[in-house]
Amino acid sequence: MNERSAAVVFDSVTKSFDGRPVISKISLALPAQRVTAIVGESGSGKSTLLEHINGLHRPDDGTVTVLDQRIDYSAVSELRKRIGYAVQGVGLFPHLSAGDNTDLLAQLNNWGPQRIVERRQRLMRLMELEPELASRFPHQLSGGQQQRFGLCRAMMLEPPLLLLDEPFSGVDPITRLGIHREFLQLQETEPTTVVLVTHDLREAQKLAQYLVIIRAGRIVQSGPTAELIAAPGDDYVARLFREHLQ
Amino acid sequence: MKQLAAFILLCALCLPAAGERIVVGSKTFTESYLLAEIMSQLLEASGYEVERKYGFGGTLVCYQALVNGEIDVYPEYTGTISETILHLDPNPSPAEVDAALSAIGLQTLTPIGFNNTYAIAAGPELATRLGLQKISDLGAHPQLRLGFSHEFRDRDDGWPGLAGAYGLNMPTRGIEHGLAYRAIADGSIDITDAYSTDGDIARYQLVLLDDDRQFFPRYDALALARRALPSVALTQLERLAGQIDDAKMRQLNSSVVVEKKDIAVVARTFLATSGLVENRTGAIADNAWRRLLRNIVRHLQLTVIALLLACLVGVPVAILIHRSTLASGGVLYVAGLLQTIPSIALLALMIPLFGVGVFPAIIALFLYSLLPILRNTTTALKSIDPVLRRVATGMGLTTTQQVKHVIFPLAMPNVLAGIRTAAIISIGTATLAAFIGAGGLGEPIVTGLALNDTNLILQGAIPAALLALGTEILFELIERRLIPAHLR
Repeated sequence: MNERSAAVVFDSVTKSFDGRPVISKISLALPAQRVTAIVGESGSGKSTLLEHINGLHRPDDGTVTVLDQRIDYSAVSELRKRIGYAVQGVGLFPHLSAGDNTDLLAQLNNWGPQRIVERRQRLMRLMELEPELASRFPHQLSGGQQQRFGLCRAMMLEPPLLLLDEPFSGVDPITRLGIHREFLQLQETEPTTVVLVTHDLREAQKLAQYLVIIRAGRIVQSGPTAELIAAPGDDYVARLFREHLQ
Repeated sequence: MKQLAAFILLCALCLPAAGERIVVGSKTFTESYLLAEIMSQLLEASGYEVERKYGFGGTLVCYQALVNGEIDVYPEYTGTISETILHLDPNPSPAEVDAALSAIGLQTLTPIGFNNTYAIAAGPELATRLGLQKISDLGAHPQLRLGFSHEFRDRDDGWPGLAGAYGLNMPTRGIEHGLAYRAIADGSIDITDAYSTDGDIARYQLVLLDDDRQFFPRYDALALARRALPSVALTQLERLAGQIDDAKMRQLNSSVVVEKKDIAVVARTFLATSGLVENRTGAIADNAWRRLLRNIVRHLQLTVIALLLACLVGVPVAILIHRSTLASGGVLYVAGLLQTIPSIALLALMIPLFGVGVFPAIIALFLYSLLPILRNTTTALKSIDPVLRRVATGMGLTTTQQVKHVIFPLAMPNVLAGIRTAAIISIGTATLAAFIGAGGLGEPIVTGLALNDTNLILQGAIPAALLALGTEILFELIERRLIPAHLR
């Protein structure tokens, strides 16, 4: 893959918290218009890596280039508006109805009411959410419905880049399969660059065309999913695939 | 903007209106109220508009109010002026007193006629049993239980001086003057201080012990006034000179305390029968409603201004400090410390700093309101789910947008609860503000306590309680309006 078609490029990025390195010298290019899954165990630094893409963290050393531009940390809000973001536990604001949660960014960007409603309804249809659910507050929705609204909110502004931090965990397996299905449906209708953090290799295999394996803050192996599975780079990766994919 | 305008308006309401108005003050005992009311009606009869600011808690508070121009005149006693106020040697010459007063812009008028000196009183039965007649008789009975008013226990011309002059050294305890006679009647104390013109002396058949060593100085009642008072007003007040002797004063006091007559009525009757003012039958009842309304308005002024200030300071400070454990710990500690100061002590502390009246009362109420607002706002901000903060940032909301659309609405229930607590505390504490002459619903309570008049106490206590209830309901409605049910 050459860098022209990369949506996100890490160049030797290092970050420590309280003197403890969390990610070290990471260089990585993530392909545009594809789903990339960052896979690793808890504490491997995968979320920290993701949060460098929308500028929630600033590297101690190295640079991050997103959508062909080095991140300008003085105007990072502008960048973030072009990046959809959904996290584990969904992060829907409890004081707003699900619909208002979805609409918030569009309203703040001065979209007209009609455009907002049409966009939200289209996303809700794609995520198989009944229209009347929009008026409910988050706590009145099931976990699966909340996660679907979380995705709708992240997709509202039609962002060219979507960051998902374990958005599908914490629901039962059947619901999860449903959300996977709708996610793929959405991806087919509106192809977007997606970076997905997960600790679930099956999920990564199912949703992502590109795979990054991270361990203790370092990249162990990265490349197209099928290639990695066919040729694990070392014993750790081989064992991971063996234990989780069979 | 709107809040600011409302705030300025409220401040403006606090300022006194201009005009030919004279403010008459009093301390918190029957005779002081009665003399003040007589002065007020006398001044009104010559066309002045009179504002009554009665019930200043203690000599120094009342005197301070006079020096600060909060009041223009109040009834005082020669002994108190020379000893407690001016700290002169016992029995100074009139010229000496006059010189000292004019240096601070004050003057005394001719004495009204009676000498209300301190007296030491005993119950009739006890006095007979022990054969108590003079103060020096007390020395033979160290087992006697002495209950004195707080002021008397502290004044140089009170117990400390008296004990020295008579060589007495038994322990004493403090008791509210209005309750002391009843305490003697029910046998919980044996001896108390009394005023020699007190209307209750006859009622409780108290025996006044003879001051056989002439310790107590003379306490001739007179008007203590600002020199700046218009000469017409001074002339009018001078007409009281020599009008009331000891027996007359005891009788007037007794009409209020024993016969439970309204002070305004007693004052009016006296002025009419002595020919000082021609008899008019005025609408005294109207006065009561006007007074109630004025007290409520003043009470609201005190609490609302203090509360607004506390919000304007507390919320931004909480926003600034909530991220730092050290800063929020420190600030909350200081605010908590302020809260532990008893309200009456805090109000008293205000006097040397800001004098008496509305301003120091507002400062004290503001300090009390600060803690609940600071604490709740800090807690509210700290307890916002960090995931929501991260999502709000990660979504691309600017700092202002985060505060407006996420942080503020999520913190609102807790912040409002803090303001609600502060409001209720303020309404309660503001009733004590009357002690430093700030008025409000505490005024009838303080007066009622001093006069042992339950009706008057209720005139302050019931509206204050209703105000607190109303505030609860108001906040309930605000919360219903602003906060979705599941977040309340």
